[in-house]
Amino acid sequence: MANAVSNLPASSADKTSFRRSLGEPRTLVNTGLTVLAVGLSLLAMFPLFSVLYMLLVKGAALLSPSLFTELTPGAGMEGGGIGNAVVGTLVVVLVATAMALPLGFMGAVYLAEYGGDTKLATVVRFCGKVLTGLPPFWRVYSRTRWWWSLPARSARSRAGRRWPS
Amino acid sequence: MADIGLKQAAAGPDLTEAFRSPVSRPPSAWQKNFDVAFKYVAHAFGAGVVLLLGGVVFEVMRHAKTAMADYGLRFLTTSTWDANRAEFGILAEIVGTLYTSILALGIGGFLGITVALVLSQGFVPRRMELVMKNVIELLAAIPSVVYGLWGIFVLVPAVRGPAGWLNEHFGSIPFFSTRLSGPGILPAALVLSIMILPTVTAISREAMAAVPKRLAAAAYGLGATRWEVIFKVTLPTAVGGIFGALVLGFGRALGETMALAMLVGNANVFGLSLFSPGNTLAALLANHFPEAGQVEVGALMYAAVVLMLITLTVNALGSFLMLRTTRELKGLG
Repeated sequence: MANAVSNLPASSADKTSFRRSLGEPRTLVNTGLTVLAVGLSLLAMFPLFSVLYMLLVKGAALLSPSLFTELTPGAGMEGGGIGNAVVGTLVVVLVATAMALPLGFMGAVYLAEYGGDTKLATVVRFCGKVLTGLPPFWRVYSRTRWWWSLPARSARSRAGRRWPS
Repeated sequence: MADIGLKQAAAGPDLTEAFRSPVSRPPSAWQKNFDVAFKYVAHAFGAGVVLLLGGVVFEVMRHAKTAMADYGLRFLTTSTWDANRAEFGILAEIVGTLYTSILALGIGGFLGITVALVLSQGFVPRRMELVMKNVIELLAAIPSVVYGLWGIFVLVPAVRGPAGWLNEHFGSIPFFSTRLSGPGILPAALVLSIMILPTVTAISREAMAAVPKRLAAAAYGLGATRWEVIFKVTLPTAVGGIFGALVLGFGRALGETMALAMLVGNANVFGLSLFSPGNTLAALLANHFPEAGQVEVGALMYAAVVLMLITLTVNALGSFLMLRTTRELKGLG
């Protein structure tokens, strides 16, 4: 807590009043809260590194090029990879983005350019917020509406399993 | 060019010279129509967002209709889930959902606002601020399932020790009245709070950064310390944005599924103890849909309706309260 003022020759008694000392309650509270806040921020960043560390420790040994190219093995089989899952993830993300982007982007354009404080804009904003909090109901659709489950069905029939109706 | 145009405009209505410039040409019919069409398309997409939510609500309600008529309010006040006897109740899940989400909001909200303060009030150098901001934002990029695995492999073993100690020494307090055997309310709430942390941080940081610098400068000029400025100027001015961040975080916590399905224990019981297993509505849906028969699907849809009602209520309350708090601060910017 060295202050520039404290380095000056303390010829005048007035200058001591510019000095910051932890003995003063306001300064003490201020410094304490700063230390606490920075400490909590570092604590908040810890999980990211912990997750990465866990993934590396548990998964690095199996990391190889074939992991990304081969299919998932059957039960009790050696080798194999997650190639189908990688491709599946990419396809799903691409299709989902293609569906969500126009709606999300144009919705944002509407809110920014035309919406303002109108009633529709307020409702749109509210619905957007609610949609972020909705749990994944897609399971519901894939079980109750056959066309939602077409991709899953074809995958299952290829795997030779009967789809419960 | 503009000069000539001005002179001619002053001289009379002959503007042909000015119209030769591409800039000053009036919009063509096509341009006008495009503008109008774009406006309508934008409106349509805006309404599309509303229709999407409406569609989801309608579809879920449609499938829940039978179960709602069959079980009525009994569904909300009992907590058995037995597909064989077709006995369904979700009281434990409702309590569990609210309990874990409120805990997560308390921990994640407090941490998130603290981090937002550190990142917006000049506590650390600019470059460090950027690094920390990116690290926090990366927390949002970790998939829910990975958080579930992390909870099982790292968090549960880590909290088991302290939890056992608390139970041993303070077991008479209801919050610590059981032992943590594995998954439970506390690990679930902790993971949930990490998951909502980036949302809370990002939005409340923006609100704090938007507080006019001259307000803080005026307080500093009067001799306030940094934290006095934060508590008396920054936080009260940014309260609308911070509140919005908390509501959004709470909404996400209510709907979070996969990590909770892995960590909450999936037991149809509820109690005050932080260490006992419990269940949440979203986890119930995720766990039971794959094997559910016709009747159970109806009951699950009923549970989905209840969850949606909770989410809608929280968001509506949040919007309403935000409107009231920000109205008093209008004109400060």
